[in-house]
Amino acid sequence: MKNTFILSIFIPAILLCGCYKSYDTIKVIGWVPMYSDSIDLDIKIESPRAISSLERIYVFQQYIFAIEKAKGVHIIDNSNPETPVPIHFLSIVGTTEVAIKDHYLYTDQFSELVVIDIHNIAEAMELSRKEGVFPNSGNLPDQNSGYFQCPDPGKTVEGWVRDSMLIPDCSI
Amino acid sequence: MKNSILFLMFVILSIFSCSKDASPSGNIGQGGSLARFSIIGNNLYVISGPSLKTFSLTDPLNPELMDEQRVAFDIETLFPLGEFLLIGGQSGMHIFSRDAAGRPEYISVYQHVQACDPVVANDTVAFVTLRTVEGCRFTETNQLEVLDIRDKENPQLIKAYTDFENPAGLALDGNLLFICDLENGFFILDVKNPADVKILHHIEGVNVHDAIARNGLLLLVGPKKLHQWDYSNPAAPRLLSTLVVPD
Repeated sequence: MKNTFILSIFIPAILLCGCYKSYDTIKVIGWVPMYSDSIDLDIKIESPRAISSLERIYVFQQYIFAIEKAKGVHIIDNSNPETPVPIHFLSIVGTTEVAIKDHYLYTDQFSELVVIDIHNIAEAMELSRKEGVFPNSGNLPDQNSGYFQCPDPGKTVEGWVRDSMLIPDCSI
Repeated sequence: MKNSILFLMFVILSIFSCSKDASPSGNIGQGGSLARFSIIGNNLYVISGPSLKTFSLTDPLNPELMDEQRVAFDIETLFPLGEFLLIGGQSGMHIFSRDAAGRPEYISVYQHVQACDPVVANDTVAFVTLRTVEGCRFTETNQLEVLDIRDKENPQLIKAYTDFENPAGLALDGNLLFICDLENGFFILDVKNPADVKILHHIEGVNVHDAIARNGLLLLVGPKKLHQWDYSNPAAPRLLSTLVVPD
């Protein structure tokens, strides 16, 4: 009888723990702060590097531009789709998107819109940038709602990038 | 004789000009369905937070902001459709027209349950995937919605299909629709009859979230891999390559 009583308390308690645990592991999309002291805004063409997480792809002529969020663009020569060859990494810290017309690549770098000349991909270089195009900088993400990782109050936030995360403490 | 040679040259030139027209891009690239940037003609369209921003690329080195309008706080994706723009948001699909200068004008919204929803379309039918994982709200809706968009002011649901677990990015080429279903692989569907969409293939064992399909070549992107399939024979799609880049 006593055992039954204890079980009747503990079993629901254990089951409830399961509920809380599953909530803790729910992943959401939110904003991650990028700090100005840790950012190199220079746009550089580099040798191919390992891909840690692919987000978007964009096709232009025989090339695939595979975006690694907030880091840059893997440029892949896809002349033969049976053997795609990574040829360069275009380092653009803060990037999330690209679009290309007439060998000019348009991308975002935090709050700025950047134009990159890719007539000669091996020597891709920044041509111009417009500031303040994307409002997503400052110490709070410029959103009406959503989750974000609480920024370190001692640092200056250069911008925000979207990523998946466990439910963070901060939200708007 | 001379005339017939001229005629032949004319025919050949016409064919070449047609094939040039047939490629929608010319010298513009193509993004996947999850893209927030899109170039049509001389305009760059950008989803920035809740707003749709339009830049003029008349001077390609100096994009000029020519229009900005607030659409909805939850917009996520941008699909170029000739003189129209379709914008996917968590609560609906928004349709805009473009004026001669490329400036967008709001036409209508098709509202659906709260879910992530990229969109692709042809002139008459739009395909919207809804999924409700990873931050896309907590309701359980994972389906493909097929919409009649012949009347852009009044998009109507034709049918919803629920064969998918996490339908994410998608791509359309003619009557073939490709749907990325995350860990559940991807689907190739025949959408010739929007009221009776048929699954041709469900290919499992890959994890992909966005796709680009053109000229018989399907590019699929997953978190760590880039897959390419040849679908020129839709009855027998063929894996061409998988680019795996080690950590």
